[in-house]
Formats: sequence, C-alpha cells, structure tokens
Amino acid sequence: MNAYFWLIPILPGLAAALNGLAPKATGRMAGHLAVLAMLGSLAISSMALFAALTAGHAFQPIDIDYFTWIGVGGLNIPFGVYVDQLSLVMMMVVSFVGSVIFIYATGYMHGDPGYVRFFTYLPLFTFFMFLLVMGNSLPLLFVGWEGVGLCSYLLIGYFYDRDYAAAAGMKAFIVNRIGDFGFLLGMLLLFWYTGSLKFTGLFEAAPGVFTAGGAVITVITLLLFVGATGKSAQLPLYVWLPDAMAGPTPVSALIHAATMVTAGIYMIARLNPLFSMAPVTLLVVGTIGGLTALFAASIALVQRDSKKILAYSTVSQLGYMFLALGSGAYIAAIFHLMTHAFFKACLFLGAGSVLHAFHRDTDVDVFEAGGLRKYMPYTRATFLIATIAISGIPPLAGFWSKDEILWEAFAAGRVFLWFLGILAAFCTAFYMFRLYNLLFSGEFRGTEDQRHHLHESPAVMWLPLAVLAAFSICIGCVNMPLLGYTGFHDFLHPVFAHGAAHGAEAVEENAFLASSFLSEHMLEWIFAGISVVVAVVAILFARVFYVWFPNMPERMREAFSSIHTILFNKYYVDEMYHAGFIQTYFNGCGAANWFDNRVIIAGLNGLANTVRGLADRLRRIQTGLAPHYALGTLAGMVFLVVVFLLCY
Amino acid sequence: MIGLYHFLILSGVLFSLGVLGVLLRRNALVVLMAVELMLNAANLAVVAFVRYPMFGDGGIVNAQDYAAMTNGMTLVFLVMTVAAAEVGVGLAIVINLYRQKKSVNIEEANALKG
Amino acid sequence: MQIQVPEISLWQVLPELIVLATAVGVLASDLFVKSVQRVNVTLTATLGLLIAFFTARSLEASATPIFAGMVVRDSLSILLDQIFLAGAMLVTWIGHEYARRNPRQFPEFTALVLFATIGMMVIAMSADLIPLFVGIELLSLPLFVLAGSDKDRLASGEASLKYFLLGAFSTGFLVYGIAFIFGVTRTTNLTVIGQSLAAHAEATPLLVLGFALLLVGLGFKISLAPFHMWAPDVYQGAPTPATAWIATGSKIAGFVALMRVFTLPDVSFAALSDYWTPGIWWLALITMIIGNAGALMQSDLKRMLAYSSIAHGGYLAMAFTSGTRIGAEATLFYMAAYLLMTVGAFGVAIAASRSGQECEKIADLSGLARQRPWLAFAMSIFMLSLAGMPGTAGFVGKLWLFGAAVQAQYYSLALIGVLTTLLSFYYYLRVIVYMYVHEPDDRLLFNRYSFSNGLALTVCAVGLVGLGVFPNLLWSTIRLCTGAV
Repeated sequence: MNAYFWLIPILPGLAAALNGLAPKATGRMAGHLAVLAMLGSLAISSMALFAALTAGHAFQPIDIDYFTWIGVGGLNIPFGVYVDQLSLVMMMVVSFVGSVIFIYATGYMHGDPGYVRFFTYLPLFTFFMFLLVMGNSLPLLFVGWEGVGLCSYLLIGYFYDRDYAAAAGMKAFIVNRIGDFGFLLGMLLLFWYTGSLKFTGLFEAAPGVFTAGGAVITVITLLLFVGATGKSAQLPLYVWLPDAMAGPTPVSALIHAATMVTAGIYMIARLNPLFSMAPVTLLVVGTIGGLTALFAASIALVQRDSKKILAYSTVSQLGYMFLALGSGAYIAAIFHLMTHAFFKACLFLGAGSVLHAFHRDTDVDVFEAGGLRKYMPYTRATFLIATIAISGIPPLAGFWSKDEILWEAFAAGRVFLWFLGILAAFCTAFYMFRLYNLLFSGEFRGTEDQRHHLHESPAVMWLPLAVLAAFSICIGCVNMPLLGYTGFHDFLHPVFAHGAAHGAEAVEENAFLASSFLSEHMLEWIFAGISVVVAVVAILFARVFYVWFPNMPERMREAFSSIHTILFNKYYVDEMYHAGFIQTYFNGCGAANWFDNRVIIAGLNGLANTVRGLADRLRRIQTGLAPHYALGTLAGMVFLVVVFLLCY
Repeated sequence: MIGLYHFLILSGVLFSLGVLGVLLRRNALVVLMAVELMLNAANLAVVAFVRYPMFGDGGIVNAQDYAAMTNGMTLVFLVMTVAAAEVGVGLAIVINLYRQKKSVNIEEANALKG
Repeated sequence: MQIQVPEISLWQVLPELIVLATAVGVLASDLFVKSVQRVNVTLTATLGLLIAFFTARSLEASATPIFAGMVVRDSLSILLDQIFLAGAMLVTWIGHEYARRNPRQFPEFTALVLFATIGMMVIAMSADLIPLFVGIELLSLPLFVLAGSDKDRLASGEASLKYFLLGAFSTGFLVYGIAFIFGVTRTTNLTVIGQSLAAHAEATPLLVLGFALLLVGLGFKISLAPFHMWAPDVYQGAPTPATAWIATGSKIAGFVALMRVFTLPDVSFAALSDYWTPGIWWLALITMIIGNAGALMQSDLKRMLAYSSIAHGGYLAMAFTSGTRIGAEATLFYMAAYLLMTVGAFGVAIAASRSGQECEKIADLSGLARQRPWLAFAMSIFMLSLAGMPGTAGFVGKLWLFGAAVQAQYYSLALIGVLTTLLSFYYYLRVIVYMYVHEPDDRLLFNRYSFSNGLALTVCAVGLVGLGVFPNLLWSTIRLCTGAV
C-alpha cells in the first residue's frame, strides 16, 4: 500500500500536464481525463484509510523519503510524504470532494471555450493540494501552499475578459503575499532555532529548543498564523475571498470553500506540538477566529448575491475552525473542516446549479430569484439539506461539529469565544435560511424571459449534489460525543497526543465547570440544547421575514437603515483598505490619516509608493545619453573610494 | 629630483583629463581618444612603479626588481595591444553610427532609455 | 643574463584551443565556401563546443599554476569551462533561429560568440591580473561587435556604441586599478599577492584605491549599480542572442573575475577582506533595489529582463560579499541556474515571433499559451525560476544566496533581498498572466520556431526543474571544487 502513495499527487499532476501540454489531443476528453485521475487518487487514499482503520491503534505514521531534495551543510530536506491520521483525513476530503466537484464541473463547464484550460488548472490545483497535505517537511508544505495559491489566482481570473475578475485575482494575489511573508519568516526562524524543517525532526527538537510559553516560540507561531490568516481568509486579510467568487462556481466550491482555504487550519493542526507550546498565540488564534466568525456572519445577513453570501459564510465557518484551534480543540477543528467541506461544497454547487439555470457565470441577485422549488426540485432538496446541516440542526453533520467546537471552547474556559460562536451560529442559521427562502420559496420574481429558461440541471450536475447532500446528512455520525461515540476523535487522537504532552498548560480549566453541581455530560446536553434552540429561533425568524411577511425586511431595513447600510457595505473594510492604500496617497495625508494607515497595515502602503516613486525616478535617471551613464560610473567610483577610505 | 610621485601626479592628471573628456565631449572620436588617454595614464603609472619602487632603494638592482620589471612591461605591452584592438572595434562602431545618423555626435544615440 | 622559457603545456588549455579552432574554422568557411548553410555552421559550432566540453571534463585539476604562473587549471576553472561551453552551445542554438530571420553575417555571428567564450574561459583560469585583463578584453570586444551586428537596425547600432564607450571607459578604471595594485605589491601574480598579504595583512591607501578602481571595472561587467546604466539600453537594442550572451556569459565571467581577485583564500586579496567588503556590500544593496524597482514598470520584455538581470547581479554580489565557502558555493550554483533561466527567457523572446517580428513588448506574448503551449510553459518555468518559486533551481539558488548572507550576519542585506524578491514576483508573474490569460490584440499567428531553438529551451527548462528538484546533481560538483580551493 505504502508504495503507491506517490501516485496520489502524481495522477492529477499527469492529467494537468497532458491537458496543458497537448490541449488539442485531449480536447473534449480533458474533463474525463481529470475525473479519472481524481478517482484514481480517491481509490488509493481510500485504501490507505481502510488500512489505517483496520490497523487501529497499531497504526504508525508513515514517513517515506523518496530522495534528498535539498542537502547542503546543515540543511537537509528530503522529498517525501508523511501520512498519519491527519493527512489521511485531509487526503480523503480532497480526493472525495474533489472527485465529486470534478464530475459536476464536466457538466457545468460543458461548452465553455476554456474547457481544456479549466481542466488543466483544476487537476494542477489538486496536485499541489495533495503535496500540501502529504509533504513531510515544512518547505514541501510551502511548495504546495504556493502552488495552490497560484492555481487559485489563475482560476479566479478565469473569466479574464471581465475587469472585476482580473482585479479579484490581483487582490487575492497581493493579500496572500502579505500572509506568505509571515509564513516564510516563521519557517526561516524555525530552521534557525531547530536546524530542521522535517516535521518529525521539528517535533523532536522543539521541546528541547523552545521553552513553553517563551517569546521565541510565540513569535514564530504568530508569524506562521499570519500566513494562515492570509490563506484561510481571517481578519484582517479575509478581503480577497468574497471577491474570489469571480471564478467559475466549481472553483469556488473546491478551492474557496472545501480545500485550499482550509490549508491554514491544516498547517496549524499539523504543527500542533509547536502551537501547544505558545498559549498566547493560541489565545490570538481563537480570538481572531471568533471575531471573524461573527464579523463575516453579520455581513452575510444582508448581502444580495448568492455566491457572496456563501463566501462570507465560508469566512465565518473558517473562523469557527480557528476558534476551535485556539481553544486547543484541534480535533474539533478538523472535524468541522471535514463536515464543512461536504455541506459547503453542496451549497456552492447548488448555487452554481441556479446560476446555470439563469445562464450566468458569477452572480444572481437573490431578490430576482424565488420560487425555484417548482423548477429545480433536486437542487432545492439538496440545498435545503445542506442549509439545515450548516445551521446546526441535529442529526445533520453541521450540528455535531459546530456543537463540539462550542462545547470545547466553553470547557477550555474561553467563555467569550463560546459567546461569539453562539451569536455567529444565530446569524448563520438566519442568513442561510434567508438565502434558501429567497431562492426557492415564494414566487418567481425575475423576468418572464428568465422564467421561460428555468430548468433543472442535468444529471451529471445534480447527482454530485445528491452525493454531497447524503454526506452532509450522515458524515457527522463518525463523532457523536453526546451519544457516547467518539470514533473520529479516537482515530485522530495520536496525532495530537505528542503536542499535548510537551505543550504548556495552554488553556485554563473552566471554573464554572469545575464547581458545577451538574455532571459534565449533563452540561454538554444543555449546551447542545441551547445551540439548537438558537438555530431554530433563527430559522423561524428567517421564515417570518422572507416567507410569511415578505414586506418585513423592507420595514426592518427602514427602521435600522444605518446598521443595514454598514452591513451591506461590509463594514466599509474594502473602502478603508482602499483609503489606506490608495486614497491618502493622492490626498497628501495628514497626521491622523497617516496614523490610520499605520494601524491598518503598517508601512506597506508607504513601501509600495516609495517603490513606485523610485521606479519612476529611475526611469528619469536613465536618460539614454552615454555621458550621463559615464557620470554614473564616476559617481559610483567616488562613492566606493569614500566608503573604502571611511572603513580604512 | 624627479621621483615616483611626480609621475603619479602626472598620470593622475592624464587620467582625469581622460575621464573629463568622456564626460564632456560629444564627438565620438574625441571620446575614443579620451579613453586612450586613460589607458596611457595607467601605463605611465606602471612604468613609473617599475622604475621607482615604492619600497626599497629604487632602481633595478636585484632579481626581484628584474622580475617586477618583466611583469610590469608585459602588462604595459598588453595594455597597448588591447588599446589598439579597442580602437579598431571602436572606429568600426563609430562608422556604423555615422552611416546611420550622418553624424558622430554621441548624443544622437538616445532612442533607448527609461 | 639567462632567459627562462616558461613551461608550455598546451594540452591543459586544449578546450580553449578547440574553441579557437572552431571559431576560426567557422569564420574561414565563409571565405572558402560559396554559400554557407546555416545548419552546417551551427552543427560545426555545436560539435566543436561538445568536443571542448568533454575535453574540459577529462582534464585533471591541479592547483599549481602553469604558463609561468599565469593561469591555473584548478577544479574551479574546469567547472566554469563546462558552464561557459554549455552556455555557448545554448546561445548558438537560439542564435540559429535568430539568423533564420536575419540571414546576413551568420558565420561571423557564431564565430564572435565563440571568441567571446574563449575570453570567459581565460578569465576562469586566470591566476594573474594580466590574463584576467586580457580575458576581459577578449570577452568584451566580440560582444561589442555582436551588440551592433544587426547593422540596419538603429537600436542595435546605438546599443553597440553605448556598450563600447562605457565598456572602454570602465576598462580605463580597471587598468588603472591594476596599475596601483602592481605599484604596491610589485607583481600582478595573484598567488604571490595572496601569499604575501596572508603573511602580513595591511593595506596602504594606494592599494585600497586600487581595489576601488578594480571594482569599478568589474562592476561594469556584472552591471552592479551604479555601473549598471548601460545594461538596459544595450540589452534592449542588441540582437537577442547577443543579449543573451551578454546577460549571462559576460556577467558570470565578471563574477568569476571578482572571485579570482577578491575571495579565493590565499591566492587573492581575501586577507584584506575587511577593507573591500563594505564597498561590495553597499553595491549589492543598491543593485538589488535599483534592479527590482527598475523592472517593475517596464513594458518591454528585454528591458524588463535587463533590470531583472541587474537585480540578480545584486543577489549574487550579496552572497559573494560574505566571503565564506558557502557564499562561493551559492554563487556558483546560482550562476548555473541564472544561465539557464536567462538564456531560456531570451530564447522564448526569439521563438515567440509573429510574421517575422520577434516579441518586444511583454504584451506581445498575449495568447501564447493557446497557440504555442510548450513555449508558454517553458517561459513560465523561466519566470518562476527567476522569481524564486520553489521547485525550480532559482529557488534553491536563492535560498543558499540568502543563507550565505545570513550566515555572514548581513541581516539587513538578506532582508532587503527577501523583500525585493517578493516585489519581483509582480513583474515575473505579469509575463505569465499575459501568456495564459490575455488574448492577443491582433489575430496574427505566432511563427513556427526551429528545432534548435526548441531544443535550447527544452534543455533550459528541464535543467531548471531538474536542478530545482535535485540540486545535489550540481551541488556535489561545486563542493568538490570549492573544497579543493
């Protein structure tokens, strides 16, 4: 079995190479080729998972070095895979959700002029994604990290003839560079201190090199977390993800919901022995996660574009995962990552199915839709299932994972995080059912011409939806602590045991929990009950607002117009960034403005302007006249002589 | 008594004249000559260093001085040869400039910039 | 008086002689054969270079200078000979494609490339300032002519004029520097200089002045700022294969000269490193900033590559300044990687032509991916490697360059390097975006490109990915030769 691991990334890589290098030869078969490659990867991953499950506690992480990748001086980085329970879960998510989305995409992209190009980028993306989750060293993870970023950048700009698509691609690229810079610095510092970048070597060296809770490990993990906020769209670097919806819908589903954006969560979970040693970092991670969860969910409440709503929802759900990581509940985070992959992919593909019915590429105003249940029964059914799942209604998948996160946060003494989470859960259930009601309930509000064209998507599209919906229902059953079954938890436990043993006491005990007269199990039930009640109330609200009293939203909007405006404009963050980056440059900034800039993203603005100014001045120095160049040479000589004599 | 530093100062003056010529003159042929002046300034310095060593009694008295002299003279001859080759190539390039622009003013060649 | 005839061991400079014979043969064929077939010229040159390459491989390294202490056949020079010969082969191949569209003076073109190569090889084996100087001239004079070889194009004439005038100007500084160093040390032999300096390391003002002047002369060759100003104009104006050889061969040779003169322990000025390091430190800093800032706003492909090449000179100088063994190794490795990616990028510029006009603006590459996917893919590899994307030789090389700087505790230099590298992603990725994302403005199709050009690009691309994934292939050889030194 282990001998075939290398095939998992290579298969999609080959498909990408074939489609990219011989587009004429593969032609209409490009999609099928990609699907075939993904199914191959899925088969191998499944066999690996099966082998691990049958081995049970006897399962040992597999660490294969294929060859020495970089070997010089103290730096020795092998090229190899590290497959433990965590990688297996990620591999399954990527290959399974990937396969389903690939199949869907063959239908969705059918007849698009860029069909082959699309099926070059998408397998290439999965190649890098596999590299990311399977690599056995931090540099290899980084290769995957950059690779998926590149593919995402290319796919966001897929409809390159539209300005906003190109601009969105650029935005994603620049924001991610900021994150990557932190990641790279963190990586270099790690190497500096431990002398190793292989995971096994890192984890062995870390307890000896770093003191738990010390400044060094805190700085390193914070830098790595900066990378994670970029890739996984957290405050303050989340701004690229909503714009990234400019890409085709299968891309949004696979890259910007199910897999790539979870890379930051995977990275932190993978490096849990390091993060467990830095309680301050964990506090920051959890707080950022909780704030992002609520912040993004509140924006989603009033958006009008279905994919935008789902995008903010993704940002919010990713926030939940970081909240869990910050509470030391790594397994809960990974669990939510998995369930989220299924129901969010289902939601995106469902939204794509609606777009398909409207013959649009990217956006449909939800107030133009409505009543689609009559025209698209399969899409409606699967969308409803996924909506219930994300809202946290038992026994669907989302309930189990979200509830575990909230409970773990509370149990870890992070009561304020629990509070943020429960507020976000209310918003989530509300905006999701708002979206569902606006799309599928009531009467159709669009034009007669549009109504005429409405149709259910072909089977190649709704069958994947059905598969994802089925998993959204039942995938939660791998871990049901309320009912006393914790299979998923037990499976992943060995990955995180090591870190827990060496880590600082990352989280304090909850005083309430310790003094409570209720048993812990009872409390768990009560908290689950609170979550469910909150969700149900939110769903009823959505029903009242958008189905029973359709003029309510209008009245509410008038009553709370200022709040609505702020939310609808996404707290003006884009505008603030715009003002911070660009506007002040033109206005000539006063001291206060300057301070604002510094607060938002310090110095970056200034750097960009300096560079541009320098570049401009350089062009003017380069006059084209040879004597001026000779003068430059002479100036250089004088400079050198001065430097030399000063040092002499 | 004429010594090493007299020659070095002369060489420095020649070199500076060459540099100024390159910087200030616009005629390509004159610039070419200015460059030759720089090379000759260097040659003069080398010859002076051979004749008046910086350390020691001066003159060519022992085997070491003799070795230094051969070494220095080889350098001087090669610099002269190279200067001649450079002029050969340089004139061809200047002729090409004249063919294209009907002028040997180097400021005419300013299309490439930025 | 007894005249000593120095030991002549011609077989140790056999690779140089073979290249010389090939060059003369190619040139002479024009005289004796009525209409010279381009294919035959390229084949002859390739054959000659291949023979020279394998001759160089078979030579045995020895640290003892030969030809009366003028040159030395150490493993460093043997390795560099191979790099130069391989580079010359690639340039000949892309030049073959170029000549198809500009058929005049083709044999001269190839011969001049070969003559310049000899100059580089002479620099690589110099153990004395005299052959070093002669090698630099042997390299420069053919390149001056090459830059102007497209006689009817105004830009080409202008490029050669500027290149020549500024090159000759900087030669003046170089020779003056050598004169001062000769005056203080009474010899031009680097071995003797190195040994006497190692014995009692002290610098006189005149010697330090000599260093500065020498650095000006060599800084011109490797286009360190502020001696870089000729580079963008010349790269843009010169015929593209000539540009490729100016950008790579000449720059690498310049660094080799710096290495021979300044950093090799015991046989250079290494003992006085305290005196000359600050100068190169500052030049490296300015060069990294100016090169990257300059490339940022360019719309002309060759001009963008020119600034990018300046920036890479800055990175190399940064590692070089460290003066450590790892710095030397990193420099050597990066030189090889730099050769492949730069020749490759210029090769694509030649190959991606429409109706006989080669690609000038970056925007001219629009739609390349659709029509010539392999060209676009190869160009992406070159750009990503130049940017330092993991998986390519450019990444590994940069990692070591920065590592060397950090090891030498040049933190600010390394930081500026990393920041400018991040900046550089912008203009390199822009090229990829044009190729893959933009549609061409007009519907003109890209021409077919010849086999030789395709071969050169494939060799470069495969080499870059190969070295990026298996850097040890070259690294072990490099370690051998720095270990021997």
